[in-house]
Amino acid sequence: MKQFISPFQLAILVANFIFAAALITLPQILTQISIQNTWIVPFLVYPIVVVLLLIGFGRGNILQSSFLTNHRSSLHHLFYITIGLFLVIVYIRDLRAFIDFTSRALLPTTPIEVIAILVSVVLLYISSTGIEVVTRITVIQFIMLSATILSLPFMLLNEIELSHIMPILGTDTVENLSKSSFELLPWMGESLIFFFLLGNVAAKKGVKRAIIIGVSIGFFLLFLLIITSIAVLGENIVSKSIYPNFIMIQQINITDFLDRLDLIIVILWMPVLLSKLALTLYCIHRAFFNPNGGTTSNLLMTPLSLLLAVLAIILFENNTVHLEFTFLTWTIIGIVMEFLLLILVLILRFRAKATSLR
Amino acid sequence: MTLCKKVYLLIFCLFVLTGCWDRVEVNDLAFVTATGIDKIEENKFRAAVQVPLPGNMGGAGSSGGGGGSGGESPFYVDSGVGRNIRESNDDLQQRMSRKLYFSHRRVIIFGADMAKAGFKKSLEVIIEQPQSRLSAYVLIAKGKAIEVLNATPHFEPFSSETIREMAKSSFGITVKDVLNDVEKPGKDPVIPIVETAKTQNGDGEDKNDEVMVNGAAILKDDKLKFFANDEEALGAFWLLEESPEKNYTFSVGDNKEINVSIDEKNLRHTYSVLGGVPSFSLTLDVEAAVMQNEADIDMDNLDSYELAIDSMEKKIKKEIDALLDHSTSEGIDVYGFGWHLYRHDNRQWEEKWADNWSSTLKKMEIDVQVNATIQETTNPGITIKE
Amino acid sequence: MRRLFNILKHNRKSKIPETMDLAISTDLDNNIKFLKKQFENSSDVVFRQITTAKNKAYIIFVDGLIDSARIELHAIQQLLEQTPADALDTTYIEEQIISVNSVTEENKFKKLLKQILDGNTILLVDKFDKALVLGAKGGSSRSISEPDTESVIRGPREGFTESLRVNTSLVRRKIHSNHLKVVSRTVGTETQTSLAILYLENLAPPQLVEEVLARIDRIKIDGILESGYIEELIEDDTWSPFPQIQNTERPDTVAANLLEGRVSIIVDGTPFVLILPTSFWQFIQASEDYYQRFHISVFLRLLRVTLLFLALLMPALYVAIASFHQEMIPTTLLLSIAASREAIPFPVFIEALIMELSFEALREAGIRLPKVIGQAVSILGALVIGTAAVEAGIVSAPMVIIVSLTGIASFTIPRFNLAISIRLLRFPMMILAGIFGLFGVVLGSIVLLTHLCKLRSFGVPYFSPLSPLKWSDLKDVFIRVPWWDMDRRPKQFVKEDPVREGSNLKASPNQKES
Repeated sequence: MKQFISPFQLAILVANFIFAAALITLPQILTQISIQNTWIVPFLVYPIVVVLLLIGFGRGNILQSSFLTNHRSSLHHLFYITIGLFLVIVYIRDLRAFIDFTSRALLPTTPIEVIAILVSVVLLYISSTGIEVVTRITVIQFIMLSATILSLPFMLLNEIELSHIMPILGTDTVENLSKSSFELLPWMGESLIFFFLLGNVAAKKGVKRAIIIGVSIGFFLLFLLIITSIAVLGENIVSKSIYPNFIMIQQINITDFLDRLDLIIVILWMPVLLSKLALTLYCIHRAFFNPNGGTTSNLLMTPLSLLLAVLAIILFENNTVHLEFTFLTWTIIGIVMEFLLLILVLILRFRAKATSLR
Repeated sequence: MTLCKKVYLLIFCLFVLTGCWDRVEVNDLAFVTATGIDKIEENKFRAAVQVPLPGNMGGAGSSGGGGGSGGESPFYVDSGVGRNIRESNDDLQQRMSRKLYFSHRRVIIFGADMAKAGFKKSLEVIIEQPQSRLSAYVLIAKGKAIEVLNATPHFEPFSSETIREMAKSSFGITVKDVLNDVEKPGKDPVIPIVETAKTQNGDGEDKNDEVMVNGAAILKDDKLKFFANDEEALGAFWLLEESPEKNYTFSVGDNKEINVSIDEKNLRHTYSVLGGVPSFSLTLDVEAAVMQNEADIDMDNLDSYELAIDSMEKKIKKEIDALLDHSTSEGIDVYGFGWHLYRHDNRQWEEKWADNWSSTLKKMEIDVQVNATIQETTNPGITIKE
Repeated sequence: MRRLFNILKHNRKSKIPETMDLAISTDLDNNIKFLKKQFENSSDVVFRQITTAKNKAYIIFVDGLIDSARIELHAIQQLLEQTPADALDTTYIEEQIISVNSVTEENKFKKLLKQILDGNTILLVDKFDKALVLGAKGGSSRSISEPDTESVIRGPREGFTESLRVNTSLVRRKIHSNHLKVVSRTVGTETQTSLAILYLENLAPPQLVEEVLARIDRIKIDGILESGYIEELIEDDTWSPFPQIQNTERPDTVAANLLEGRVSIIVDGTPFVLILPTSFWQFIQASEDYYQRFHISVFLRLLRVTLLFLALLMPALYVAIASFHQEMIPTTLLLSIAASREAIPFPVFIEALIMELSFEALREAGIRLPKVIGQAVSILGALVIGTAAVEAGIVSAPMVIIVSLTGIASFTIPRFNLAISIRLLRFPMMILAGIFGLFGVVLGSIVLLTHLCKLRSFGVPYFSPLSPLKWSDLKDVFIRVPWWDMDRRPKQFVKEDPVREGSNLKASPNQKES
């Protein structure tokens, strides 16, 4: 049975996909590069991502149906393999980031292997339920998290210092801004994987709009987090702490009794990242073993998730290696693979158009 | 049972049988409420902690278990010595049966010697440790920090709670503020001073060490330069403090004082650059309400009102000038003139002033303007003059 | 061997029908002999012989199932008073003598036996191969009273009884519409329990009704004693801890659900009527929500949702916070918790487990014991656990507060079967909290949420309309909008005729003029 999602759900999925993982450590490196001006960066990257998506889309409908065709060429296989590899890297990166955060903020002495296995088992359960259920839980959790994030500036009203976010026009500002835009681009470009899920969207209309809305929501929330952290903490502290947003929510102080809300917000965020990971795992499984989405066999899901968990642990010797990968290596890999994906999508689209004309 | 289920069962057993790595009972923790850090000699520090003793708190539940008896102190202070703060804490830990737990620490006090030597490294530990919080208040003790911790104020069970309340209601500087001020170009931190004082109840029996948060310590980067005297401390209030609530006394004529409460204050600044040297002018608007009018000045009368306003403005200006003169002469930027230039005129800042800001500061012109208004009088209604 | 077995099986099955399919003969003595053999050792079956002027006749019934006064007055007395010239025939008796309102004829023993066991009275007359079935069911059954499990302050005070007919009539009295269909089925090879499947023809989706009937027809069981049997036999996922079929004792609840396009199943012999398909949120809605003013309903529903979370998670959260994340508690509160725990020998987790288990034990004891002793038990338990344990320093006071709050929270869930699942799920949550702290609680909750999103009740997503999100249906989930705004039936069930009431029903003085 083929599972379907609505355009609204698609929008939330996209927003969640680009937002959930980017908020962990990304603001730190961005702030390190472009100091107080960092909150401008999302505005610079947003048009680029939207244009890339629009290029990939073209008219939309042809693309949507071209992935539904059972006719497979070697190009399709190439597309699926590329997207699978891309997602594997994303999955490993995010899983490790999640595990590291958990072991730092919540369970400092628990071995990360144990956390990894536990998380993998849970992810396995979620992703084996299929895309419909993954989407449903994402929607519930994402709405709760977004509401919290939207209320953050109000909760932190006393702590915000506007002079912290005043843009500075220095000699190297433009250079720094473009550097951090380059850093941000591959993270936001992850939204490209939704070309892969188009076949699951029930409605034929409004898909393009849904994806653009989703990207906008994701960007807006990320922007809100970056600007709030810098306004509250100052660029100095943001660029020094690994988890700036975590430190930022620690500053919430609504009367003396309610000044320890940080873990509560973390609790709201963790399911959101878990559902992103679950979606990634689902897509990896589908890209490698079941590209049509036809069968519902989850036989290979278990070994896949455990293998990826093991990889997430052994590939990175420690926290620092992972951060280096996230900030340096991933940027290059991400951009290269995303452009490759985009090109493949374009070729597939034109070929589909050609065949449909003939 | 399929193989799959067996695997899951195995994983489940793994957790249940091996779990609880991080579990620690409330009663195996020593909750540090305040830390005091003193410098003993070069590269040797004494870190003192104040730890509440739950057994002596007289909680309702503990009485049945043979716990609390009223007379004992609800907290104790102990300290460790080491080459840095962490080592000192480790030294202390060896004498404690419960694990030191820092996430409830709300007060960090540096002794005067420690502050003079610079404490940035000690504060940066806090960012790295996820447990401790950036919202802890930082204060500088006039003498040894450990003495402040030992104080036994009457109102709260712990001196840390007293300090926190006082810092919160007046001039509270948190770790976050200090770290930002130290790092910001062209801004130096000002930190409140904490000291102990005996209860002044005449011949009364019950004399304790009370805690007093008062005055301002002026720093250059992370190093203490001087303690502001009373006049300069008031200057610090006018320049830096965000909350305007304060009672203020000034004299009009000889031995006649007017007490006012400050309702509103608003500080603005403008700057101009002349020949590569910036100059600032500060304008302070103060709104006050009369609390006690010893001088019996008729506020309805324009002349006498002007007189009162004038003496108030003069006194405020003098206090601000005192602070600015003293600090700029030592190359300290308490107000953040440089920070302002950095933001608004970044290129010139980088080119001309960034490297020699201390010396630029010394020759910089700062003009202070105070506009005071006294809004309302106390009880007496309008007297209609014949 | 196998064949032999098959033959045996076949024989055992076919033994009864062989004799049962016999037709009634004209010889009365033979008939009576046969029936007496069937009801051998059944002291409650009465064979009353009547001899009129010319005929012999037998009246047969099960004592206690019939309305004996009516039979005496309208059958026996009438028959005895007749003194006709020639022998009576059954048609004459049916049409001229018996004054019972429902009389039918039967000529097969199989059906006859069923009629007797169903509580009808049989009249067998000599020389005729037909039996008259006098429908005068009676006997004692509970009168309609207010249901104990779902009492209301405002709302109808009637509840279902154990009698199927009374129950269907209660629903009929609410919905005077020929769209209301009552399909009946008989399930249970021994008990022969009657079921009535109720639905509104124009609202309930036909495929839903078909599916329900198909699932009921699939049941092969010896007996159905309560609707719980049916519930477990037809629900989608029996492994799930959550109830997927709602049960109620209130006719108004059934009527309201029928009007939303659902199907309900009434089982003879129990006042608990099943309603399906159900969504999770129906279990936190009480029928009174719709009768009281909507402000209080909104408040109560939000309160119930909060308390639902507390009932599920509070002990787990306390364990997690007190033994993993002490930084989450405000300092002063933490110090008083630490002070009260100073003398407690157990870790928080064990303490919580002990307290929760003893609370459950206390609750179970209170329910099972006779009501008078039950109160004594609860007082005793409250004293021992609440006061003595704290004073002795075995259990800390905060833990007692947590456990009792949890208990209170779980009592606020209006539907008992959801309260049970929440009670059970509390324990795995506590175990997760005891091993992994908040992280465990989060993982547990997300697994639970996934399960809830995955679950379906007769094809309808269990967590709907929250997930998948249907904005328009949310008007009756966490809140209840005023009745003038409830203009559409839930989209999940009713596809064809969604409009429930006229638009613009909000009353206001200006409307009179227009």
